[in-house]
Formats: sequence, C-alpha cells, structure tokens
Amino acid sequence: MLNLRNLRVTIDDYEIINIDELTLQAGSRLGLVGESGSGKTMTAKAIAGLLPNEAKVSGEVNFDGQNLLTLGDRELAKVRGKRIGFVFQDPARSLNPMMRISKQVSEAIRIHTDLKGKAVTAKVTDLLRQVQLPEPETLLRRYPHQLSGGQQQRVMIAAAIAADPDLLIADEPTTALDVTVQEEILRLLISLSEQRKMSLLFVSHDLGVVRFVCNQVAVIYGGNIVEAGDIDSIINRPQHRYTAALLAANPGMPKDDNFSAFIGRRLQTITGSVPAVGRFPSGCRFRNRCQHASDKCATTPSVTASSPEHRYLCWHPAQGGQS
Amino acid sequence: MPDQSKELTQDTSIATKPSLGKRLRRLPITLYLGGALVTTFVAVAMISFVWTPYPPNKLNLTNRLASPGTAGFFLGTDRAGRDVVTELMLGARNSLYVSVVSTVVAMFLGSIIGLSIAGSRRVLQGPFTRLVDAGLALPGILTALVLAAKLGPGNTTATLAIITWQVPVAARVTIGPARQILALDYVEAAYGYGRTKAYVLRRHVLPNISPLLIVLGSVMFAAAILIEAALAFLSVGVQPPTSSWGRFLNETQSLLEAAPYLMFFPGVAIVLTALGFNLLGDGLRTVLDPQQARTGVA
Repeated sequence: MLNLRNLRVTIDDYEIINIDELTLQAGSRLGLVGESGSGKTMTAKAIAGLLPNEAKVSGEVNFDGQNLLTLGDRELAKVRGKRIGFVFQDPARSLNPMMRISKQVSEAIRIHTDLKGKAVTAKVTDLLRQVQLPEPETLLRRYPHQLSGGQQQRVMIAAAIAADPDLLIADEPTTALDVTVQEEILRLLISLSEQRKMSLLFVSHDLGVVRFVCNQVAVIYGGNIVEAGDIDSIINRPQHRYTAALLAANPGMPKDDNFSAFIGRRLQTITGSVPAVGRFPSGCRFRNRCQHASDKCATTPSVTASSPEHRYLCWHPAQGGQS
Repeated sequence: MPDQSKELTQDTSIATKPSLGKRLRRLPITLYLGGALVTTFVAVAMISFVWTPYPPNKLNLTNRLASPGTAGFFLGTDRAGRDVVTELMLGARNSLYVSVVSTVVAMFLGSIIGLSIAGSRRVLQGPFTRLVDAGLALPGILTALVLAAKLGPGNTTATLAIITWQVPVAARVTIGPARQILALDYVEAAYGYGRTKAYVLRRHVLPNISPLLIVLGSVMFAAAILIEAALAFLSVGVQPPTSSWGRFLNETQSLLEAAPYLMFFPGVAIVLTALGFNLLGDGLRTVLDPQQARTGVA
C-alpha cells in the first residue's frame, strides 16, 4: 500500500535521504530503525509531506497507487489525517496548550467527515475509550497540561486515528515516556493496528521495541535503507554489518542465573558517530565506521537478497552471503 | 536520600489551588494601579455622555478664568468661561474615541499582516519584514502632518495617522512569536490532521500569541492617547468646538501669565491616562507571560 521509490530529500544541497525502495504491505507493521541523524524521522515526514519548506524532495511516495509527491497542498491535506495518521515523538509539544482535548482529538473528524456537534463528541469519547483512557467524558474538557505524558500520547494516538486512517506513522511515540508507560503504549499501537487492519510505520532507534511491535523492519543509515525485511530474519541473521553492530550493542536482558556475568560484560560499541550531513564517505556510507570494510566498499553496494523477505546493501555480509 | 516529609508538603502546596483572595493578592500592584486609572478614565468618558456639570461649550462670560474652587466651578473656568471639569470630561471622551478606534484597527491590521508574513514562504519573509521595518521608520508626526495637509485636520485624520503609525509596530511584534509557534510540533500535528496553513495561523498561532497581543494593545492604547493629544495640540487633530485634552493644553499656552495653573489640568489628565494604560500593560505582561510567572517575578 505504501511504496517509496528513489526517494531523495536534499536540504541546502546536502542529501539527507536516498531510498531506492521501501515497501509497506497493507495491514503490516514496519519498523524504521536507525541512530539519531540517520534520517528516519525525515523519511516519515517526507511520506506525510511534513518536511520543512527548504527541503527538496524527488522520487515517488506511492500510497494506494497515488504518488503523494505530485499532490498540491489542498489535495495532500485530504490524505493527511484521513488516510494517513501521524503520531509525533513528544506528546507534550504536539498538543496545543490552549486547546481542550475534545477539540484536538476531533480535528481530523471535523476536517474529513460530515459529523457535527453531538456526533463528533460521541466519536471522540469513543476514540478516547479505544485508546484506553479512563473517564473520557471528563477528559474531553481538560487541557493538555492536566494530563500525564502517557495520557497525552494516548490522546495523540486517538487524534491520529480519528478519521480511521489506513496508515499510521508513529515517530518514536514512546521516546519521551517512562519505560512502564512505554510498554502500554506499544501494546495499544499493536492492538489498534490489528483491530482496524491499519498499517503501521513505526520509527524508532530501539531494535528491541521494533521487534516487540513490528513484523517487518528497515534499517536506515545515512539516509539509506541498508537492510530490510522480515523482523525475525533480520534479528536472527543480520546481513548488513551495521545491523549486526546495532544488535551487538544491545545489552539484552540478564539471565537470573548469571547476573554477574551480565554486569561484567563489556558492551560492543560502534566506533565513531554518525557523520555530519554531507560528510558521509562514498560507496557504502557505513564503511568509515565498519570493522569489516575493504577497498571494495568504496563502490556503492548493490541490493542483495538472501531470501525474498530479506534484502541488504553490503559487500561483506555478516552471514557470508546466503543464509 | 532527600527528606521525604519535606517533599510531601511541597507536593501538596502545588496540588491545592490557592484561594481566590490569595490569588488576587498575588497579582502585581501595577495591574491594580493601571486598572484603577484606566477604569476611571473610561468611566469619566462614559459619564460625559449622560452628565457633565455644564452643557458642552456653555460659556459663562461673567465667570471667565475663575480660579479653582469658585462656587459652581470645582476646577475653575477657562478663558471663555467654560467649566474645566466639563472640558476635561469631554476631552476624555474624544481621547477614548480616537484611541479605541485607532488601536483596534491597528491591532487588527497589524496582526493580520504579521501573521501573513510569518506564514509566508521563507524567501519572502525577509523582504516583507524589511518592508515592515521601513514602515516603522516613518516619522509619525510627519505622516500626520502630511495627512492633515491632504485631508484637513480632524479626528479622522488623527485616527488615520495613529493607525499608519501603529500598524507596522503591531505587525513587527507579531512576526517573531508567530514564527516561533509555527515551528512547534503541534502545528506540524495540525498539518498532520489535514489542516491548511490559514487555519493553523488562525486557530493555533493566534490564540497562542494572544497574551502578547493583549499586552501590546494596552501599550499601544497609551501611545494612541499621547499621539491624539499631541496632534490636537498641534491643531492637526480634532477641531473646535469639540473638546480635547491636547487642544485644551494648547489654549493654556497663551494663559501662562494669567492662569498658569490651568495647563496642569489637561496635562495631568493625559499623563495619568497614559500611565494607567502603561501600568496595565506591564501588569498584564507579568500575569500573562508564563516565563515571568514561573520565576516568581509576579
């Protein structure tokens, strides 16, 4: 249902995103994983047409056979909210402090449906119940600052799904929340996507979280999708060296019996940091931080498929090619 | 380990809402002073419609330049024997009329221009903002004189002059905060729901800069009163027989020897009213600016 092709985003002549292809099937949940500055949020915003004015976008963002990049502002506004919902990173900043909850959640309803007055309120109450907020009737009249962070994010989710979108883009929806609240929100997202047969594009820097939520994953580095496919295949048999390094850097959970070994273990790190925009090496963008890089990596790797559901861009895959 | 009992008491102090009396006492003194002065001013202007000690322009030729305290004339009379209290009340009315009209119109136009510029494409923002700056650079009195030469003196001229003077101010003050709001996440979220820029400017940006606009309005009101008086003083504003503080002040010039005290009446009226609006603006700013409220300056 969602297909990106040759998507290129440049700001001030710096290439921020360069995605040859990325597909999200209807009803599936795709995780977009990467470090800070890897372009994951930019990709999400490019899909919804929410990039800043100075960004130049080319390529195709095909959504149900329609290239969103060719749409004008008004046509795009009909897709946003109605067909594509967006949940932002920081709920406290994504809610207008001067507007009551009822008004904010009903935005998409009032824009995209013919419902009026009581019908809108009923729908909003129902939405708040769907995102498992207690006492939706009293909540309607509150202002954002009267809610906790977790409640605010639930409100944001309710607002995003208000017009029954087919695709929900969640940009690090739990980053600003406590770990305990985080799990509740993630479970909510999963159940909503299953109940409503709604596709989910889940942006995160946390592979563990993505594994919890998604059935597909795309790893992004330097604006390139370096590896994409089935979540289990990628977690268990990472091919791209960057994915492998990311997984190795995850501490996992200690086993009860050898807690001391867990504490004493040194975590693997990825040397260096994500280069500044425009400072990426030619060829494989990860090669200056990769322990396995060779001269060959100076040329851009071609897409390799280890299975129909698992593709990657690496000259020296971790599993030695076919797995 | 921090003292837990202390933490608990702190929490309750935040949670419980202070009583109304306590909250009223916490408001800045400037708000009360300004409010009192402004209320008096508006009340006097309103009362002048239904009651003045003497009918407007009633000449008491036998009682010219009566000194304050003369029976029947609390503040005395002017050169033509008009009651000073009556004159001042009518002057307040004219002052209020001109400043209300000009401030409302200037705020309206200015904030629309400011919002439009803030919402315009990035390449256009610079030039447009400079254009507003150029408007700010126009000397107000000069504009008023040019307008008077074209349209003839009068209240309309004064009002127009104040508007052309204040619109760039309102626009310039709006641009910056509006741009800040436009960069916030909830604006992006509104686009995400399918809202257009015009709607976002009206329903998200405007309410969130309204505290600023309220404060700006009260300060601009003070400026409008001063300008109205200045223009009337220069005979560019309202013409006889309508009373105005500025014109009254002008007339007392020639009486410096005969009745030197007379100039204080319109002068003090102008000063107190302008001061009132400025204090009110200052008080409102303290109350409405959450940053100041948080640091406890309020």
